[in-house]
Order: sequence, then structure tokens, then C-alpha cells
Amino acid sequence: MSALLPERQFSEAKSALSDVMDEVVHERRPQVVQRHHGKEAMLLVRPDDVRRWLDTFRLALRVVLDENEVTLVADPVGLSGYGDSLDTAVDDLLIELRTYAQRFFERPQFYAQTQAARHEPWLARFALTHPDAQRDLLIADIEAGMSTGDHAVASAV
Amino acid sequence: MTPSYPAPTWAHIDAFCRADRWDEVRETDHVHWEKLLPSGEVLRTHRSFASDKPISQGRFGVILREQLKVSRDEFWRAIETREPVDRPVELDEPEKEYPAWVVLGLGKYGIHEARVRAMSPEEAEKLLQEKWASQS
Repeated sequence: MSALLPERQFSEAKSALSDVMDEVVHERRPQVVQRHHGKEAMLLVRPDDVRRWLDTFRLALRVVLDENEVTLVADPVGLSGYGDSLDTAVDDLLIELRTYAQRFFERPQFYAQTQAARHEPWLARFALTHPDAQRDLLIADIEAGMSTGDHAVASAV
Repeated sequence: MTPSYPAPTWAHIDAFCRADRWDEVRETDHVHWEKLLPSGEVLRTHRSFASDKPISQGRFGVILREQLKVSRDEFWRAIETREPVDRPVELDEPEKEYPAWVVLGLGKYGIHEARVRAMSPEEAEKLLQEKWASQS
């Protein structure tokens, strides 16, 4: 493991968990905890820091319009929201994203062996956003498409 | 000659998923289906509405192309034969699509989905650019 980040052995971290958490949460210092001579390791970090790191993983959203029906498609996760307006399609897509994110992180070993593994940063960003802010996140992702940056993301996925 | 098919409903999506051996996942009020392909791709689809509700053609096209990964012909064939689809299959042409930001942006000027639908995606985007330009 890189010596650039603070490292602790598992037993040491366990006995000083309060100090470890203080460093991670209050001092914003990521900590690597390892065991079995470094064969297994985990990274402890504030959720809001991870959420910020993932902020470039914006969903690219497109719309198909029928008479009184709006279908909203989110790339690259391949989910759709259905409604009679863009507003209600966003609401339906929110339910889909929550359902998929929950299932994805409940079955990580299954999805890690599939092509869906690449959805993880988009789903983690969504999952690390407070439920009350998830709709605003989706709207912000739509509005972000107004800049050329979204075309770069869409073409990359 | 183009074959004629019935108007699709959500019940047809359920029937297809059963025929194509998808796993049903009930996690919310929605009905979800999931299928792992031999390629490692995971397909997902869902139903948010009553099973007898019809599906509009544009939405049906999105579901076929992007979620079920089948053509219309293969979709109806699977329901009829109750046999899974042998993928990959050649997919139908994509539906007319608009960037979501164009639809959202025009909505802020009182130009809602029905009016946007009458325009091409290029016309809709041009109109939004004109609205922005007229404000600056």
C-alpha cells in the first residue's frame, strides 16, 4: 500500500477507533487500515469527501416524447423514468435509481463480475447524496448538459 | 411486407420477460426484471403502471432497444413461442431523442413537451439558444 496515506494495522485501529474516526471525520485525513501483512486493506474516508470525488460522474439524460408521455433515459446506467411530463418522469427515474443502487450495493460480488460493475461510481455518487437532495442532483445533471462537458461524458460512456 | 403486431401493453413486457427467462425482482410498488447475459451484460427493465395500460410507440422503442435488447420481431416471437431470444440481435432504429436539458430549458419558457415534440431535436435546441440569446 502507498505510504502517502496514513496507515494503521487492524488491531491498532480497532483499539484506537475513536481516534481513527476523529482523524478521518474532523481532520479529513483518509486512513488505510490493513491486516494479514497488507494483503487486505480498507480505506476510511468521510462520505461527503467521496461524494465530492465522484462529482464528475454525472448522469447523461435524454428524452423520448410521445403524446402525453415522456420517457427519460439515464446513461450510462441504462435506467428509464416514465411519466406524462418531464417532471413526473424524473420522479419515476428517482425510484429506479434508488432501487438499482440499493440492489447493487446489496449484491456487490454479483455485479462486480458483470459489465454493470462500471455503473458503480454513478450509483455511489447517487447513494451518497441525501435522499432529500437526490432529485436536485438529477435536475443538476440535466442542467449540466447545457455545457459542452456533458457531451464529453456522454461520449465516454 | 411489414408484419402487424398488437398495441403493446405492460402485460406484454411481463410476458416477454417470462418467456425470455428474466428474474422478477419485487422491491417497490414497481415490478422489476433483471437478466444476466452470457456476455456479462446485465439487462434491467421495470413496470410502473397497471399491466393493461398501453405503451406508447416511442417508449416501447426505448424499452426494446435499450433495456430488453431485442427487435420488435424478436419481442413478439418470444411471446408467441415462449422461447428465449438468442442474442445479440439486430436492433430497430432509435427513436427521435432530445437532450433532457433542451426539454427542461424550453419548459422554463412555457414551451412544454407537446410543443417540443412537434419540433426536431435540432429545432428545439436552436429555439432554446434563441431564447437565451434574446435574454442576454
